[in-house]
Amino acid sequence: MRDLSEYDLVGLAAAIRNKELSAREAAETCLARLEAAQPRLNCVLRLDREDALAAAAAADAALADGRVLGPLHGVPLAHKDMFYRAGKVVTCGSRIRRDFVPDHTATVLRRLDAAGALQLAALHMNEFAYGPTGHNAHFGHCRNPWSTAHITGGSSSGSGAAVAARLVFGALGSDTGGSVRIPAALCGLVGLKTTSGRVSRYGAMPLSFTLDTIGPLARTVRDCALLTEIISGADPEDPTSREVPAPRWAGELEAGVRGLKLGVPDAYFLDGMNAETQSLYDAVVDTYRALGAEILTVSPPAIEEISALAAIVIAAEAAAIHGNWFRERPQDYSEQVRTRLEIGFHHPATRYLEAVMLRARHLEAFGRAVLDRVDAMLAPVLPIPTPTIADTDVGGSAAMDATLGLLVRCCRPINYLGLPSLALPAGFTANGLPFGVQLIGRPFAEARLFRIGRAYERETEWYKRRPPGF
Amino acid sequence: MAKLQAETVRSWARAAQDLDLSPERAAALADSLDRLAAAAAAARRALPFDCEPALFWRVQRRWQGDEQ
Repeated sequence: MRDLSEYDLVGLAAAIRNKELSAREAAETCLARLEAAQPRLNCVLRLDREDALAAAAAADAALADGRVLGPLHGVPLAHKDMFYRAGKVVTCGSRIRRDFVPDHTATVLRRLDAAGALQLAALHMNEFAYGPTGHNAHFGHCRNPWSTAHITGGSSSGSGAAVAARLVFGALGSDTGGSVRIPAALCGLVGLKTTSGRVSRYGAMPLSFTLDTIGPLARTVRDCALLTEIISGADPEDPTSREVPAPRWAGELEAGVRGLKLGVPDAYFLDGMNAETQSLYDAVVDTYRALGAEILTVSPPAIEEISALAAIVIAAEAAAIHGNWFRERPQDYSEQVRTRLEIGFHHPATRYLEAVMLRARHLEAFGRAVLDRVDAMLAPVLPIPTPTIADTDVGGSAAMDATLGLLVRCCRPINYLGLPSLALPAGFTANGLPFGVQLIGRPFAEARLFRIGRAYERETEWYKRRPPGF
Repeated sequence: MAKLQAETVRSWARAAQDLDLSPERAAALADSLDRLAAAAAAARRALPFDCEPALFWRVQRRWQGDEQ
């Protein structure tokens, strides 16, 4: 079987279109890799072997007929197990939905299908996407391909592990408080938290309808950009989605950063870093400076407050969504998710609504202090090196708030502001695990973030490193 | 701000949400609620009268700056 792992998604799509290999060969190779890696990584919740091979055969037949289905013709993908596909069990990483079979298909999956992509599997996730670790009490913990003793990050844990281990060429995740960016950073991938309204959420499991976003994880910036272009755009089924032109992935991707301004925050985001992560972050800043970007210090206002308001919004909305199950079958939730849901029932309605109402004011203030001055702000995804599974397996104990709080610290405020943020691999810590940074930009400015990210990627080539044994 | 009492949290849970919390869980919850209430109270002071939720989308458009 041919080694396809040197292709990125865009490269593989071109190879299939050019008939250098068939969609069936790509699918079979990836299915074999998914099966072989499962005992080590536990990143798959449902394998769609037969459907994927049938779709691959159809793609090959179409190509033989001179028809290209779309820009992802025959490309093997897999997605977090929370995107509904009619007739398939979608567990949402939970016991409660272990047998749930939706009657409709998520808009993002329909768009990927229409672009010619294959879905090979549904991937591991934190229970109901409510956790940043990759732990799951019902299905077992997902393992980081760089070190199986360490967390993948979550909640899009399987998406991070599967793409990093070269099992598939891209994956969708969801990001309510860091759930795309954290696994992307911890697994050495590019991951996009999209602008609120950029991508339809129809047919995706909700956690917090105010803060939920959907975005891709991929090996390279151009892969991430192409997937974003395909899933973006208004959808009549999701009235919160916006009719904004999708970012043209090829447009300005290679334009470099000379003349652009990058912001380095003077507070909050760099707090809690240790000498090692600070040094890696500083090296990213130095690289951008050497590439011609102008580096400015910015002062993002009231981020501690924003983080607390985001916590209130998520907790209240999640509690409302889960209320009936929570009352009727609390024993079917893991201890951690049950404990986290509990608090949401106790915020007064006025406190929740105040938190929602204050979003505009905080976005305005952030805009004036940051977005008005720079093209993007650079922050770490995690201020600390990737922790181990053992260190973060705190269940619902008293240590839970502090442990989870540190993981989402730099990400959750960005969901409250509704801004796009692109996570990028930015080197490795001494424990051999990837370190990631995020570029935070103006609403709907994903194309600019891809350009800035690509300039760094081209210079450093971290994406060429692969986890040992994969 | 007076510290939220665990028994108060338990009675809220029973009356408003039909939930039965142990005294230990109610005490832990009271701590978390106190912390978030303090942050929310600080934030609330910045809330103007006419800040309805949809204003967020108008502000988002104002800062929308993509060069598509």
